Amino acid sequence: MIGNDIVDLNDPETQKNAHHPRFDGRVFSRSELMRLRLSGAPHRLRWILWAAKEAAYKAMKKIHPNLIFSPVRFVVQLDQTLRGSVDCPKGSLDVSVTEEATSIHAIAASAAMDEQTILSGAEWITSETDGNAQQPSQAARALALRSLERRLELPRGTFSIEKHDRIPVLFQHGVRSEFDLSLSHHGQLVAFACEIGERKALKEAHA
Amino acid sequence: MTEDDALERVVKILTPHVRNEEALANVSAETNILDDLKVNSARLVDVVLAFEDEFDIEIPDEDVDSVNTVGDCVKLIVGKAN
Repeated sequence: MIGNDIVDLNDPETQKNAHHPRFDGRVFSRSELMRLRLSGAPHRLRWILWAAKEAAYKAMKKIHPNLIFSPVRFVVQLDQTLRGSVDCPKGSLDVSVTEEATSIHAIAASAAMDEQTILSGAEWITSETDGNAQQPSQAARALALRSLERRLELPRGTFSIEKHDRIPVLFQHGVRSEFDLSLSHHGQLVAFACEIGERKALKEAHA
Repeated sequence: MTEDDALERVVKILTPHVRNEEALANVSAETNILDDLKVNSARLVDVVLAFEDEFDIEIPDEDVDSVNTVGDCVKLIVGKAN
């Protein structure tokens, strides 16, 4: 299973002091709070850790539907390259975080992080973004569908996305796909991650 | 504290974090906080902390997870505060 989370660092919500004074204490574990205190860039690290927790929760919730999102219990461990794991109440997931000057994108997966089997992307919403500038959830879907069909060299309209219990589910010609999908949006950013697995098999099945 | 009193204070706390003004204008007990008001999960943490301050209560994550609508929220707060 896969989960992802995007953070727009330009958004007013992510500015310094935009959150409740007890936000960090509520959300971060003791070890994470220590890392924040020692960090030269605590504000950026705060959102890296948050995105990793969110991504892990989204992935784990699909395996354990009754899982509660208690952020302090999702403990993030990352190396210098921002790869690592999130220890959750129900197990551990691999996590990978990509940071740009104004964005953070975290992906958590129950399978190994492999660029050959995980397709992901993020983009800024513009007035030209599929005409969905006012509906970021639609823009995230459009990005995922466009990217999947391009990567798998399949015709437009092959895939569709429906929500089941607030979780996006991928369909291929109306049949539920085995490929797990996660969507996210925040501020002016939309993103997705998808476990595409053995993509050759998919193409052959389609043919 | 009555539910009407709690509702008014709950909506006041939610208001700065709402991204769907239309849903806020028509807010009711059935309004979903995440899906209708578009309050995101990080902001929900701030909202919960503000509820704790406003009503002098503690709201553990397990309780937060059971809250979907404004009405759920009001019932939880009234139950803890009274």
